[in-house]
Amino acid sequence: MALDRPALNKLYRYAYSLSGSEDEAYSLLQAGLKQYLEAPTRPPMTASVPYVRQTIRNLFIDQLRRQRRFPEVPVDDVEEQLDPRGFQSLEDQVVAAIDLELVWSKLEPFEREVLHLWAVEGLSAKEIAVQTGTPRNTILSRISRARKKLRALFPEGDARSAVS
Amino acid sequence: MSKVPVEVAVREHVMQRELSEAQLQALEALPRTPLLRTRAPWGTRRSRVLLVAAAMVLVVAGGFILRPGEDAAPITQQIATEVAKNHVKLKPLEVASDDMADIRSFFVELDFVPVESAAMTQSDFELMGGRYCSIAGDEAAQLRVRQRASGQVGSLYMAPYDAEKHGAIPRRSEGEPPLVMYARGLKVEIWVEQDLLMAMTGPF
Repeated sequence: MALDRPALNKLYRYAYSLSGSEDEAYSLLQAGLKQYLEAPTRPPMTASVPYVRQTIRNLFIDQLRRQRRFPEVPVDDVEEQLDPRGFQSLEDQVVAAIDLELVWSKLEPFEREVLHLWAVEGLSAKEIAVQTGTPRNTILSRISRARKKLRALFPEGDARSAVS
Repeated sequence: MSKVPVEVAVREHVMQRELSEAQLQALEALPRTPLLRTRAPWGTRRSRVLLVAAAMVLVVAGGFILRPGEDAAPITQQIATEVAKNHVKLKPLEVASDDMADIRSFFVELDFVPVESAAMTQSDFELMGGRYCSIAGDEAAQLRVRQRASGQVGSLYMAPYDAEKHGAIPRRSEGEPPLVMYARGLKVEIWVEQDLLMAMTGPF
């Protein structure tokens, strides 16, 4: 097996962050893995995880388009999206685990994706832009929208008023 | 109820998701296609090796007879020449779209999935469409792009990267600058990105 169990779980968690659903995540992982294993030419094993992750992403995007669920950014929000601080703008935000469970499904897939790649994979906004082939400004706007949603749902989620 | 930074909460939330033993076993049991399967029935690995060896002998002999004394160009120069030649011809697009998802949906016959290269976003290119082509004998995607500032049209090629065949090519993810070559009066940049061989050319 080209991908070991830790790698499979890593990909599964990525698919979960994209889709927001464990069932859908497993389906995406299974489909992505099948595509990888059926390809007559495959990347070297060291590149298997990024390859399958990209395959999962592409499959998910195709799925969204077929179901006409591709998230649109409201035109009048475009000007307000950008915060050049990127992930630093989230550093003062605190949240309880149970609250994140509630808000997770309310985030858009690509907002969850940037949070995943930042918090779980440890990537910067620039690295996420390169890895996903997305303009950096788009990444920044997704971070801003995620932060806005967190603040709207949990207005007291500020480090200065954190309750221990 | 204790609160933690968003980064920590996200990480803990995601890391709790884990495949079950049954799911892991099902994934591990997925069939794997042997490498180097092609549409033509090449038979056993030994017969494929013999076939490739015979082809190489013919190519070397043919090259010696037709062009005595001329050294074969390195593979990267061959790629640069092929890419530049194809670009100059500007053959009609087989799919016209500025949407990468449409482009990916079109290229179903390829053995890889075209990706949105960072070269496009970082150099302010817009996508125009694509067509099937080949690079060094491998099926490839040729994407036509337009530089927004100048309006000039270029071509971005993608094919599976094979380290043995193509040799060491700079990897974008490791911050390595692309190979720069010149062919047919055009600058050609060659690099590896998301494990695809990429070549970009145009009058930029």
